Amino acid sequence: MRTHCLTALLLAAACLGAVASARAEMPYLKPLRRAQLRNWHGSYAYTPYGLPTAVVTPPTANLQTNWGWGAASSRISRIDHQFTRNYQGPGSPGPNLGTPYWPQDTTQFGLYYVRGPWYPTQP
Amino acid sequence: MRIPAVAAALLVSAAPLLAPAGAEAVEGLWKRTISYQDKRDLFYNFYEGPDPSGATAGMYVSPRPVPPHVGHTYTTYQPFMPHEYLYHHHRSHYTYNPCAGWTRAKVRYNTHGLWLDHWWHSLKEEVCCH
Repeated sequence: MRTHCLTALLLAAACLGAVASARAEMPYLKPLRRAQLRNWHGSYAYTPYGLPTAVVTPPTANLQTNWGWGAASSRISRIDHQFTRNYQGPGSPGPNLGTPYWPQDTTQFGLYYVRGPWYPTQP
Repeated sequence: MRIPAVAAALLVSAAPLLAPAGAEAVEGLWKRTISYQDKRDLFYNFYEGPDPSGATAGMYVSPRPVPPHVGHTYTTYQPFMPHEYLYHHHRSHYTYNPCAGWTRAKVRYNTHGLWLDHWWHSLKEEVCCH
């Protein structure tokens, strides 16, 4: 009986320990980790500005819907990037494509969602 | 006598779950978040990038990162910054004034179910625009 109790205790402690270690990084930090590896913009420039332009969305937004022509045209993608207080310099925007005369997808308009700042995740 | 011992052992093993991992870990899960902004943030903007592409973006057109002797425009009161109106939240701004203590500004951003919009819409139909 004592052996069974000890085994049950060890199993419970192991499960609880695994849950505790999985909570080391809060879920709201994962988008920022993903954002370090990807650009906040696509290949196209917003025509009036000549550059890819960020559209501010609520920091509570996680997903966006992109639309295009054709079958199975809509897709859902993440909004990982978020405005922060770090100013890293003016940057060096590379050459961007212009919006086609006949746009085929919403990403071709050069407007890309970026979440507004949220203070617990500010540096 | 064995059952209380087992319960105590379970409680001890569950202690990491019950206790917060750290102040920074649970922050943001509270209902009201204390803002880190202070008066110096009045002259600050929010930025994105550069990511691998090198392109950056500023959230507001002003203030720009310019030398101190150059004039600039800015939002004079942080709670009125437009990005705060994007989502439902509460915030308290604390500012320490030397020799005068702390001041606090509590701000709540919500719509109350847009009852004011409904009320204004019904009022417009009654008194005008016919």
